Amino acid sequence: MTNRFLIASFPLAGIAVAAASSAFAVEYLTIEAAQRLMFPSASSFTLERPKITAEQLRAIDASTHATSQARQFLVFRAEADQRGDHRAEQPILGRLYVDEVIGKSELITYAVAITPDGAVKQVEILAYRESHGYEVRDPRWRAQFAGKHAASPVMLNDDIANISGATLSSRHVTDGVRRILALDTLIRGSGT
Amino acid sequence: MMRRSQPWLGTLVEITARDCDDDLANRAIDAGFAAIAHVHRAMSPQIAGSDVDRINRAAVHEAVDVGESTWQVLALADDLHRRSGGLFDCAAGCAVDAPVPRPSQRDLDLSQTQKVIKRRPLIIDLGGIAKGFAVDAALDAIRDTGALSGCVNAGGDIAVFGNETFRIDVRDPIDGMRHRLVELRDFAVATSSMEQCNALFTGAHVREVDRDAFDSGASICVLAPRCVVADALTKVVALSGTISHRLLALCGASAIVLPRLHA
Repeated sequence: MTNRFLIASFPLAGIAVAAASSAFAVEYLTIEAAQRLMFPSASSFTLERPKITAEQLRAIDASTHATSQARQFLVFRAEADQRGDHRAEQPILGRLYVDEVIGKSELITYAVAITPDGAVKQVEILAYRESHGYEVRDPRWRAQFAGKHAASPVMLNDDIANISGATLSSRHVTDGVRRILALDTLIRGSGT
Repeated sequence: MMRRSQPWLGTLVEITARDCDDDLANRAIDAGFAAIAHVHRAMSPQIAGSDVDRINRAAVHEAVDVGESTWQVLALADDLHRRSGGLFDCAAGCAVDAPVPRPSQRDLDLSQTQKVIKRRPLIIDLGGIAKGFAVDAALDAIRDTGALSGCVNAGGDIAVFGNETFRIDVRDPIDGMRHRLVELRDFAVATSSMEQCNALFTGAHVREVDRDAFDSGASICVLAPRCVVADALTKVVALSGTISHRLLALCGASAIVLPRLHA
């Protein structure tokens, strides 16, 4: 099976793509690329719809001191190919969570790969955004670069490396991962 | 071009690989992050059992075995401490009420390879140098995979290699409004705000008058062949109050001060 259609219909995926058009946004990985990267041996990813009550979510937020900004986090079950008998249950390689947290002022989308026994395998930032776009449009702000690179007018785009406010962003992502781990424990326990 | 980002070293680390197919790029970036993770686990004071944590918890005269990376960083820190006349001091963050004379890096006995012995009670913080070291280690790991060009950016401590020129928008780590565009080729750059330097070196043997040479809202940006040197020298520049400290020339480095931007 493929998850292409499932992803396309989800709001989170739309946000990640839209990020590329904003001056201070970087899209590192699509959800699909993150799946291939973090579970290279998986043959399929199934979107899970865990039943978590608002009460359980509140308890997790309280115990992990972290709150997600995502309207809905996504969780995919990574499955290995089960040759032959299609009725047999697919061996689970782990789960991939996609979530959002506030960085310095804008949303950061990130993915966490978790092993079947509940250990963090990998964390990847999918999209990073900043709200300083107004600077780029301000001619006075742009003037500071004038003359320095006349041949290549400064465009704050993909080829310029910059991450500011990264300390705060990093802390919020780390908090988010802690929350995802608590969610994963709940989801594994419910046998979804 | 492939670019990925992961949270390490208390910041977001971004690694870019250029001039290679996706498969090699991913392998190169994975190798880079593995090198960063290794430094993070060895030198984070917050991780129980890290080299730095074990040094900080050790009793006076107790020999603490450290890994090769930590040993390299301590050796370089020792060299910078001597050559900067004590300005660079990774033991300077000890409590303000520490006994006089204040503990310093000189109170570390590094005479036996990969063994650290404290002569006096003190704690160390490699925050002023480890991030730059991690960036260099990541770049070396990327180069070893066969990738031809790459860039590692650990929250503003940046190093690049390869034939291509990378344009770096150097931004103040705290106030993102302040910028300076630099072009790098096989070079490194690190930026620290005066605020960060002062926090890290609370007890440094510096006269207050020197510290006031730069506006407390200024940022120091150092360009050097290696990121570990650039990272450490931002602190030497900040604490010495001069961008022409003799250590800069000795290391093939240069400094820029980003003044506070008045609205």
